[in-house]
Amino acid sequence: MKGFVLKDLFLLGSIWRNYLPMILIYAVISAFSSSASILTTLLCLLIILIPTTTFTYDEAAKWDMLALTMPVRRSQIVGAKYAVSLLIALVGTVITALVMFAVSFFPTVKWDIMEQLPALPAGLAVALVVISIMLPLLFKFGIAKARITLLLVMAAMGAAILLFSVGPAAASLGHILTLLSTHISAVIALSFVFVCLVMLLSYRISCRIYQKKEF
Amino acid sequence: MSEYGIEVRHLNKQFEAFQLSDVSFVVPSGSIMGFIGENGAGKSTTIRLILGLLRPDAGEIRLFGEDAATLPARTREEIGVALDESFFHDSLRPKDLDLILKNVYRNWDSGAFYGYLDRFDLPAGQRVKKFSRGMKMKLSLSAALSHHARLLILDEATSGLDPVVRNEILDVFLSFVQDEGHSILVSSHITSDLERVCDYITFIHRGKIVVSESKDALLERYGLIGCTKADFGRIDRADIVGYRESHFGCEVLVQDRAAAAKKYPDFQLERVSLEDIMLFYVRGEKR
Repeated sequence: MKGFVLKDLFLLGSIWRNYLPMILIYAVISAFSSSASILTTLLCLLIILIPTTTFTYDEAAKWDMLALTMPVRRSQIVGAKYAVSLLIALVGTVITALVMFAVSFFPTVKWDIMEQLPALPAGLAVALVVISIMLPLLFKFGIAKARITLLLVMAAMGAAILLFSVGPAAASLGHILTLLSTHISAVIALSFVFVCLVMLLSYRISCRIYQKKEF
Repeated sequence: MSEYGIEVRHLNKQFEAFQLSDVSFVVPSGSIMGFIGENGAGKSTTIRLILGLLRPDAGEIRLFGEDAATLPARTREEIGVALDESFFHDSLRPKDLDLILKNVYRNWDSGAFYGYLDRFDLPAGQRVKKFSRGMKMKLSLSAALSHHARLLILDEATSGLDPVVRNEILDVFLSFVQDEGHSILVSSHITSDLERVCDYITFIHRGKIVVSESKDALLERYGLIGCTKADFGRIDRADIVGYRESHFGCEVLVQDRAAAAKKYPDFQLERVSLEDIMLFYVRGEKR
């Protein structure tokens, strides 16, 4: 599996330079904003892009055909995709935290670093859940069809958020959030367990899909 | 140790517009098996089935005597593969591949890999996207040969290469099978290449095996009769595999040259090439 993780890291390594200017621009914008949420959003986006990017490269090279002739189990090929996503997500979170910390020294900054930092693990959790939805779709349908399916999933999630942000639903959501904020450590622990379970379930589904696939 | 690198028995696979029917052949250890047939005949499908990329509807595949469907990783370690359609990623460099494959194959031999890169004039630091098709195939072969495999499975490995490189690769194949425990299955539509190096030939046509036997026996057995159109009628239909008519007369492929020489002593009878056999089966008119 290590070889496959390395392969994905090499593939991502060739494009990381493209992300640098984007991170710099977002850092400057956040220095003039009322919060650093733009950096958390960027982190989420970059994490979500990881599997899409490596799947695109793999499909272009028809890599799976060659990979499956190697001394690895199909579950290890699937596992490598999850490992790479998780690894980059964690490293990305640390880098974003460092960028946030550096930006907080700018004289124009109006936000407090200690108030902004907790948003990062929340962003990470959301991104990992989205990835957990994406990966089985990518294994099942390939990159072109999975993109469309993912857009539909995102649209559904957007609609749900919109639904909960207006009318009586918004009021009850507000109550729930206030209640949750009084038990913040329990919420963090539960979120952690939830994300782990979602990723594990997603991995099992991906394995089952990939096991049946023909090339 | 099994006496066969590959055993394929009664293999069947049904697709919407194509069917592989009752495909059987064996690749003895210490030999090179050439797998020939026209485009779409079923060569790549058979190879994908052997490699476990497709699942058979029926039939059995054994590699080194072990069931291919449940082949353990340590046995896969001993199979080197180069596929016509699947190459390494454009953004990778051969030296990246060395690092990657070192962590995939326990028997990976970096020295051997860099040796092949040198031999095939492949720059270790250049990205694959700058490689020509021939260079990509040479890179695939370098990787396939660098983990001490006992069996090479190569799909159209010599196509897209210039004659000099093709010759060089054929020499590599010949030295590979010097070890009696090694064997190669190589598909190609360049039959002259296979005629040079192969010990056995399997010919597949429209998803069915036409013939699978020793190359020498095959070339010895078939014959080509040249005759006038008037004389063509004298040839027993049962002796004819296929024929071609031209302004000058007829060319007729017969399955038993020795028998034909006795039966038709006044006809001109020639030896055949693999290409003749394939062309007459595929494009020649039938008896």
